[in-house]
Amino acid sequence: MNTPAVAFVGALVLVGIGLVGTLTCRNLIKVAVALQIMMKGVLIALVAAGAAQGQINLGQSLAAIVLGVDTIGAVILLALSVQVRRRFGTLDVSALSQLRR
Amino acid sequence: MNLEVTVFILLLVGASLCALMAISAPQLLTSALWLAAASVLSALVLYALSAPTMAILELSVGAGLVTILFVFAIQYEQSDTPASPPLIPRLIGWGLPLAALILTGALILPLPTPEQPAVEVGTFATLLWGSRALDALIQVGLIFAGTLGVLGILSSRKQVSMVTDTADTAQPDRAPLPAPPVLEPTLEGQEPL
Repeated sequence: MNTPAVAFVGALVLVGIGLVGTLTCRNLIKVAVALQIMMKGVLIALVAAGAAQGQINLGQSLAAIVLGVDTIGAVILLALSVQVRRRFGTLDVSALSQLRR
Repeated sequence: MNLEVTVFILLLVGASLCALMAISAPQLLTSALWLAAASVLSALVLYALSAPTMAILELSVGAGLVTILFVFAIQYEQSDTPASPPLIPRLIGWGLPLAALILTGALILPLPTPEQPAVEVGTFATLLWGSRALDALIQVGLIFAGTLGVLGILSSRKQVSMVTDTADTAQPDRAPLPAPPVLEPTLEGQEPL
């Protein structure tokens, strides 16, 4: 098994761990951590795809775009978490979903 | 299996363990620090994949900036509380992603080898600012929109509190009215001084 194939397996594991965290965590900041883990797996998968096809710079350029979008998403989610905590006094996702009633 | 692949596997296993600790740590601050460790190991993985530019970006942004933001948000709200039990059963929460990963891995592995070695179409800067110019432009717009969104989210409470202060306790900023003149009592038929 060559290096890009191993990188794909590792990227899949990281995406899976992030998916588990997104499904099982109830804290908004913990959900943001899980999303960050998923995006790290996506970055590794993009670069590994470029390396497997012999076009590492193309993979890097795609991964750079994804990294910027991911960072903006994390910043907005953290700002939302701060504001939710201020207004409702909790970061529990289930408590937030009950506020619609 | 040569030494390079072995080190690569160790890096990936370390990153996965750090990620697992990040989502299972009871304290949020500990979780953020485990995430930073996973970012550092991911940067090493990217460097081992011959992508030094992305390794530097991941190290500075993923392990530096994002970690600082997480620690700031946790300390700002003092929300370092123990985790609550999950909404869905753990069996489903772990089983569904595991099944999805196995199916995805079966679809993409083993990787197809290109029939002829591909030739790089340009450098990283050429590809980013040339071929992906539209993506870069959209990302710049997204950064501005995100900045404005964060400012709007964080400043909404200040506006609410200002309205409340004005309604409750605020007084108009003006000089007090002059007191009415006090006339000394005078005797009848006598002009006041």
